[in-house]
Amino acid sequence: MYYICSMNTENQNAQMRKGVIELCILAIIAQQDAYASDIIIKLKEARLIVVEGTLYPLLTRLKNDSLTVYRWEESKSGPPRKYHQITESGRKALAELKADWHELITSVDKIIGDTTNNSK
Amino acid sequence: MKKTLTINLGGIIFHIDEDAYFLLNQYLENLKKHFSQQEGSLDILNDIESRIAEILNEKKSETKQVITTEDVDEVIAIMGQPVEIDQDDNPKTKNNAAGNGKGDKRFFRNPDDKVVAGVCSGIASYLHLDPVWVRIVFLVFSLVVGSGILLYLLLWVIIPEAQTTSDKLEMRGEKINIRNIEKSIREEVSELRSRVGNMASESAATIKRASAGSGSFFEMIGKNIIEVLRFLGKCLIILAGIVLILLGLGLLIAFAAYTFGWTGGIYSDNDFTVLSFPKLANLLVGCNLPVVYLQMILLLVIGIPLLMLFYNGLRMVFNFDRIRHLGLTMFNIWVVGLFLLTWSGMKIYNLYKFDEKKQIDIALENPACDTLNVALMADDPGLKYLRNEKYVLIGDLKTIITEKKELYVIPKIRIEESDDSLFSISQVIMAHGKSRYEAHQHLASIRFQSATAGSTLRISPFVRLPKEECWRGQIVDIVIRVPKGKFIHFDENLRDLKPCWYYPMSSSDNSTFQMTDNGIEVDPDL
Repeated sequence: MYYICSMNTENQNAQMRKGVIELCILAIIAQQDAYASDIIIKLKEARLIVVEGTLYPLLTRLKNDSLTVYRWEESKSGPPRKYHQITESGRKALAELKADWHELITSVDKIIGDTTNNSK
Repeated sequence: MKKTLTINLGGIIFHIDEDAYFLLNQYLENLKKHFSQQEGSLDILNDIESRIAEILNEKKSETKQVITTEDVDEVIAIMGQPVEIDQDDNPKTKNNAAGNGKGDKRFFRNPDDKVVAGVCSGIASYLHLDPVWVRIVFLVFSLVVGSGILLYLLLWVIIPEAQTTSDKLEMRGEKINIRNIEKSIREEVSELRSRVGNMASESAATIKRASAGSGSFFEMIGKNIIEVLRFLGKCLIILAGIVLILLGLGLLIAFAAYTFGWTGGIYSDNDFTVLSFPKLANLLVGCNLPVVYLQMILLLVIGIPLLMLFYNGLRMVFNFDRIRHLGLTMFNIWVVGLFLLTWSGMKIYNLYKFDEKKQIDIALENPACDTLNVALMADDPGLKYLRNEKYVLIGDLKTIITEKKELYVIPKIRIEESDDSLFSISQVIMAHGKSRYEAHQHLASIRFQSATAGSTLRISPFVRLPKEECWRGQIVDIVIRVPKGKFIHFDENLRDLKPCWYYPMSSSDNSTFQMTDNGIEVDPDL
């Protein structure tokens, strides 16, 4: 059913996910060279993306920022596939993003934890 | 018939329906327009095209060569409309005009946390409650009013299942407060109304195109109805399975209890006991066939069908795979059992094949008297069993089995009309056997006494058989011929015995009867 495509800003849950998708894509590629379908499967499992179309602009952006490169690989079941691979600067960026992420979690947890304690 | 086009999508050749082609082309054009301002838009579009080709390629098979509008609809639902992609990607450039402006909270059935169809779970998500509470409320409603089940089925039909990630995200709503509930209910109602209205005003095909999702409202309803019916069918099967299990198990236990004599005997009423199978079998075939043998045959012939009833019930409830060859094996064993049963039936018949009969006339001192008295022998050893034992029925024969395992058979008294004006009495003893000689031997084993004095006939209360003697249908008939107009009187203690006498004596409380033109009748003077 697709009559409900509008997500307004109140849906903060969805928004929070959006912020971290790039980090997640980078992390997936860093683990192992991947092509679009691999990444989609993982993101869908984690419920990080709603529609697959979201992924491609992000992949292109990562490539344009030189965080990833891609190569073509022959496939048994169809036309050649585009495999994405992380670059050195990509690894650096990922490390920074990860650190930022953990910092963010700690900070947020602190505040959330404080408020729940206060409210008790 | 439809025209198809051949297209090259991401390096793969597809045959595609004309209308599906226009739909796909429109979609790709929209994407192109959408990404035109972004850096590397060509890359993005190529990637998306490749992915679409991949998805469509998975749908292709030997039997399905042509891409239809349904396929394209599905692909678009997976990939997302430009607006959706945009929202996921960059919330700042969100374009509200493209959406339908509805709130982000919606009612869905939750397929990830369901007991039956996820209705309760969906409600719980919607209201921010623990699904357990919603389920309890539904259960209580179902038990108390019964309408809970109907309501559930109705909701199952109406509420779509959350299929995509966006559905699942929307399933969760804002925190619950009165205004929000009111607002969202109003929204739901007007949404439903407008959807139904749309259905009516536009043709189904247009709607399908417009919705571009996985199907129209009616299709969803139809799909849900099929789902509900399938569920109800499953419930029915499980219910039937439970009945079969209980029936099979109950009958199996009852059958085993009877066959193996767990209850000793089955009391049918205050006066009679129906013998349990081992005792009855011991009487009927005792000296010639082991009872265990008959029990085993019955176990095969009756036990196997009951067991299969139970097994099939289990299968219907727990839906496990059939055990291979079980049915055939059981059937074969059952046929063997049937064969053995037939064989033993013939064998039992042979045990009773020959019958011997002996008639002894008993002389009366005073055959011309007006009233013949019939009483029990005062010193008979069987008298002590007169009141304190339950009768056991073998066929229509009343018997008593003593604590010493002796069989006492109650004699039959038959009243006939005399040819002349004198009373006469005969005693007919009978027995069966597998040969004439054996039948004769059984006849000779019968212990029964009678004596006359004046106008009184005294008889033993029981036909006794020695302890080691087998019962082969030994019985005694006492035939009393009463002249017309004369009377017969039964002593009080004989009435206690309730012998196998015939109507009207058996149903009357009187003890004196007269032979009339219509046969024996209650003495009119009394």
